[in-house]
Amino acid sequence: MQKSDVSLTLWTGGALSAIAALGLVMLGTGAAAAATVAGLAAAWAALVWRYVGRKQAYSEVAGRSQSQIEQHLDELAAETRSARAELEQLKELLSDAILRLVTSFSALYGLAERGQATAPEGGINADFAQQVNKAVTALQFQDMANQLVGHIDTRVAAIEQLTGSSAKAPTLAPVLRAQHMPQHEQRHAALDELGAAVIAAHGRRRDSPVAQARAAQGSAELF
Amino acid sequence: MAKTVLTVDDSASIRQMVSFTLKGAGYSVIEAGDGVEGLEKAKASSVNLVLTDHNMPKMDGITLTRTLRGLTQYASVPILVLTTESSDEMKAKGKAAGATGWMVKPFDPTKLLNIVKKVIG
Repeated sequence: MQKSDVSLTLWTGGALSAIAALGLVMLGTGAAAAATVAGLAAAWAALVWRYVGRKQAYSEVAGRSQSQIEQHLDELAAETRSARAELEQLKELLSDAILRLVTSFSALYGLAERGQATAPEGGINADFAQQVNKAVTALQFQDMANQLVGHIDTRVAAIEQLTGSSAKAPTLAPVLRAQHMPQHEQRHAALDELGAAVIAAHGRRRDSPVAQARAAQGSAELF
Repeated sequence: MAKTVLTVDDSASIRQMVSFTLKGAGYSVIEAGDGVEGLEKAKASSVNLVLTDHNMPKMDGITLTRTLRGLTQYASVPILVLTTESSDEMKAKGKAAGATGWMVKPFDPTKLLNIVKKVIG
């Protein structure tokens, strides 16, 4: 029942009760008239009470649904911002690694060209070994890039689920489409289901496993 | 007799680089692609040092460390975690699981070799 329908019912009920009561009193039916008036008034009061209660319940559910939708939209915005930041980090990491590799390989080529790959006393020239080490360090960008891509992928999956572009139910889209008041309970339930699904699918872990944006950072610690 | 290092990492290129670095210094190296394979190879061989990544399919490095520490054979064998993870929270988890040390990628081959020498000689 729409809000306007309920209001109309109430006002019509009230008006009819008043007319009926007035008519009965005018007809002078005494106690019977008074009883009828009391009955009608009680019925009207019950109807008003029920309407007020339902209206309050609808308001509460609608308020909760609105808050849940806002929470999911905030989550969507946060996932998008994080995915963009991680893509920037990936770009920086790749540029840094490529620059380091080009520098190391150029140096190695120069040393080899000058016949300085090996030391005069035998073995590998120290500069040559150092450039190989630098290249090996920089080559590890692939492992870090793979992990970053994997993390971005989980964020994109979360965005897909929230926007409804994923085939996996539930999504936010049908919830946002539900406009009418009687559907608030369903929206509330659907939002609860969506929240639980998002948490179950992606967990609460928000931090990327890769903090590095350069291919030459690393540390070692013995406990 | 050469000391044996078990390197556990889902990245083939990292395993190759670790192997290249350690073999060049005279160590014998066994490779595994995830925690489950690492555990199987550790049980089947006599290993002097385990060098494991953390984020891996099937079984992560911290779980592998904890599981190995539960085996008498690996109660005191050094286990180094070599990972991209650098948070103090993760390091604390690794330490609690029984790791000997924590190395953050990318590793410098010389530094890796120094740490390995320091731990197992």
